[in-house]
Amino acid sequence: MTHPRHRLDDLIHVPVRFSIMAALVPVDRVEFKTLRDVIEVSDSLLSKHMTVLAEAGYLTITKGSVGRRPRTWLSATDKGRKAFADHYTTLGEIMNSPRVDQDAT
Amino acid sequence: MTGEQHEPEDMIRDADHIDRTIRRRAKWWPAFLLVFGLCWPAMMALIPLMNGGHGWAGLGFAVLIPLFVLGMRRWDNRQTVMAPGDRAVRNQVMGWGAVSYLAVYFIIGPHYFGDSPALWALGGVFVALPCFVHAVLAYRRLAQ
Repeated sequence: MTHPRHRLDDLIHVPVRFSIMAALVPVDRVEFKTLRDVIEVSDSLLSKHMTVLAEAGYLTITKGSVGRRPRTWLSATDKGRKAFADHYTTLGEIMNSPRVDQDAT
Repeated sequence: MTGEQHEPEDMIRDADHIDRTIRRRAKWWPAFLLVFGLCWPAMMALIPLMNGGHGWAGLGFAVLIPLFVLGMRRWDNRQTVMAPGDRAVRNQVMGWGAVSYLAVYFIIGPHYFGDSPALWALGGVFVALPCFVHAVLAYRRLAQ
């Protein structure tokens, strides 16, 4: 179990979830519609994946309003930030690890 | 962009692209702090002029400042990406602003600034100090 792929976080390895965390980590919080536009997914897909991440304690969801407009804010938790950083580092290690030449086997 | 790619190269490239986009969208915050900070010297320079009987200075206080506050509030409310630590910075800026404004307006200003708009404006820079410091810090953090 020395290959870095064993350290990958299955929860974040789903591309949409990895993108959600990538958007939330550098800032304090992001509004739902902006996040949807930045990561280019539908409302329903974003809702589904953000619920999974929230249940895992990787992000928090806050509902509020500005004037009459309802707003949903998403924010990465410390646990989520650490999980994303670890996963990102692991992906980098996999990228830089020597590849086995498939023809040689 | 977020298709079902699982290759590490693709995921990292995608994450880096999203990171840059989000940071760019959060850069309104240092600009906001800078503009908010610059209003203080301008506003405080009006104080001796108003006391000296310049009607336009009073008009500035009565009309332009509420308009400025409304404009800033509207600018703030339209944002959908909040920079790291923005809530703590808001509290610090408002707390320092309230205390230092009262100190300058009631104690330091009347004793040392007299009728000089330049000195009162300097007092405004003192009040706005956290805005300028945090604008620089936020910009540097978002530029990383």
